[in-house]
This record gives sequence, C-alpha cells and structure tokens, in this order.
Amino acid sequence: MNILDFLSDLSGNTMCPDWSPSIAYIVVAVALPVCFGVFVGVALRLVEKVFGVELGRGGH
Amino acid sequence: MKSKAFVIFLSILALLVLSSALAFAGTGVLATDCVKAVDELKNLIVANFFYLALFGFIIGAMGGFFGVGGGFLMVPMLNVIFGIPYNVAVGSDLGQMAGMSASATVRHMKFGNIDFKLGFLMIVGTATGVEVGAQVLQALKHVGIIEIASKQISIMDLVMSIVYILLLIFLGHGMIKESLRTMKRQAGRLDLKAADAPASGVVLRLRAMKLPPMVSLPASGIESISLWVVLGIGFATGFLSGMLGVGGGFIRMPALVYIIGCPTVVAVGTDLFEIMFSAGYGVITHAFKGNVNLVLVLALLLGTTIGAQVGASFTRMAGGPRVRLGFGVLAFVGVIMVVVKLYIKIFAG
Repeated sequence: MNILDFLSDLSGNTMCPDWSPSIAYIVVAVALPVCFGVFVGVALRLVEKVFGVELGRGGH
Repeated sequence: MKSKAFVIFLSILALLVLSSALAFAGTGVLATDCVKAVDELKNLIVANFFYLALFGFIIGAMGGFFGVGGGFLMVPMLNVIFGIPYNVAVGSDLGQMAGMSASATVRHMKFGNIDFKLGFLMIVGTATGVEVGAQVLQALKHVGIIEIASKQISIMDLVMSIVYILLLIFLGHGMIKESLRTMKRQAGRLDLKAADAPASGVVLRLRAMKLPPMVSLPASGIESISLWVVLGIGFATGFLSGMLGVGGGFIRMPALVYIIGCPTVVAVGTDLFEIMFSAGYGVITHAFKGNVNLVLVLALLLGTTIGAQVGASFTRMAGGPRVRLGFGVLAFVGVIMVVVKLYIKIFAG
C-alpha cells in the first residue's frame, strides 16, 4: 500500500451520515501539515545560513 | 525589464490556469450515494495528484508573487477546475494553510515582530469565528439541493459560489483601486495627503469606541482600545477562515493597522501568528466534520511550498503597485471562472 492509499483509507467514508472520525485521522490531519511546514521552514533557514543567501518570503 | 518579466510571469500562470480548466471541465463528484461519492472523490484526487500539486504550485507562486496567501483563489478554483466539493476544498485548504504558516513562522521567528498580548486576545474572537464559520458550512452541506431552471443544484455550491463571486469582486476592486491610486501618487498626479488617508468615519469611530473593558497594548504603542473591537476583528476574520478557507489577512492586516493602530511591522507578525492559529483550529474542527482530505492536503502542500518560493523570487522583478494591479485583475478572472461554472451547472449541466 502506498502513502496515497494509506492517507485515503485513513479518512473513511466522510460523506456518510454515520461517519465518525478516527483518532489517527484527526492526528494526521493536524500533524501532516504542521510537521511538513516546520520541516520546510527549518530547511529553508538552513539553506539561507549555509549559502548566505536570502530567499523570497512570499505570502504566509 | 520589470514590466516584461511581470507580463511573462502572469501570462504563463494564466495559460496554466485556463488550460487546466479546459482539461478538467466536466469532472467532479456526481454520485448521490455517500459511499460512491467518497470513492469518486478519492479516485479523483489520487488520479489527479500530480495536477493538484501543479495547481498548488501555481496558486503558491501567485501567493508568493503577490504577497498574499492565495486561499481566496484556491478554494473556488479547486471547485471550478477539479470539481472538489466546497466543504472538502475549504477543510483541505486550511490544512495546506496550517503547513505554510508553520513554515513561515519558523522563518520569521528571528524577526520577533509579534504583539503576543494582542495576538492571544484576538485568538478568542478568531477561534469563535472559525467555529461559527465551519458550522455554517456544515449546515449548508446538509441543507440539500434546490431546483433552478429544472436542474438540481446543491445549495452549498450555489451559496459558496455567490459568496466567492462577491468576495473576489470586493478584493479585486479594492486592489485595482489602491494600485491605481499608488501609481498616480508616484507619478505626482495625486495629493500625498489625500492618498495616505485610509481611515474612514466608521474606522475612526471604532478606534475611539470606549466600550469597556478597555485594554492597553504596549508592544504596539496603544494606550487604550476596547476589547470588543479586538474580539470583533478576530471573529470576522475567523468566520471567513472557517467558512471560506481563507487566511483573512486581506481584512486583518488593514484592520490591525487602521482600526487598532498597530505599526505595520507588528501587524505583519501578528497577522502571521493569527493565521497559524485560525488555520490550525480550522483544520481540527473541519477534520471532525470530515472535510479534510489528507491526499489533497499533501498535494497542495507539495505544490504551494515550491510555488511560494518561485513566486516570491519573481516579485523582485516587478514594481509593487503593478503587482497589486495584476492581482486585482486575477481576482476578476476568478470571478469569471466561478460564474461560468455556475452557469454551466444550472443551464447546461
């Protein structure tokens, strides 16, 4: 099973009236973006520090 | 050189958006049975993972280029181009936004321009607003369908499309007006005093309101302001986040500067702080309602992260007011796309 199937299956039948969220789904929904964001933020700071450049900051 | 780079960049993005729209016209979730609808949505997102990441890249690049989050374009375009239901687009976009704001916070931490007292006070209003907005969207999700011109259309689709049309017109108009005014001022054709007078009568009355309890915000140099004004701004922007999946910076930033009276650098830091909390709380409450698609969040995160960097590096090649003018025009392109999709759904679907 690849990562996309795993993430798809974690959600379950979200459109059905009797659906209730699993703890794993809630945890991943929050942890996935936050961990990804922190990782990217740290990586970009590292790139700036190592190469002595200032990267564009964009929107958020 | 500057204007040439700007035109090329905008043309490439516009072409990508329009070609994607043509490629995906007519797709979407059509099943009425919930299990079938979930399967259709899963297949749609997994099969189009690359295109969704590419779409995230385009929106991220636009966000980086124009210096905004891009949520106001992300949600309606996910619906118009890919046929993703509004509730899923909103929940997943908030997930993407939580990641982007976490990344930005890590990078901006060293600047420390955050008024934490103001930020924490505002969070009360923001969290309440996000929850109310998410509940309104949830109610729309369950309210059912309506028949227009003998075609059945989801009330959520209809309401959200209309709200987005109004929001994009409001934003596009505001940006075009402001950028034209700045260009006139730069060309010396507008009185500096008149151009720099953003505070209307309502804004001044809100700032001067003495409704207790009053709070002081030393980090922003504010002696006294009504707590209700702070909470009200938080609630309004939180509501927009919870219902529409936008960061709300386009309202929060001017409100922090003109109504509360924050210095611009503090407003930027505090706005980022608020987006992190509203997106974080938004993704939790929408996850509990089943509106967050994890595969979609991952695709958008991958795209927007790279796109924001690319877009931000292009910003240096174009002037500020011209960039905002392009942004305003783009908002009107968004309006046209939402109107066309709505028309097709009602009269030709």
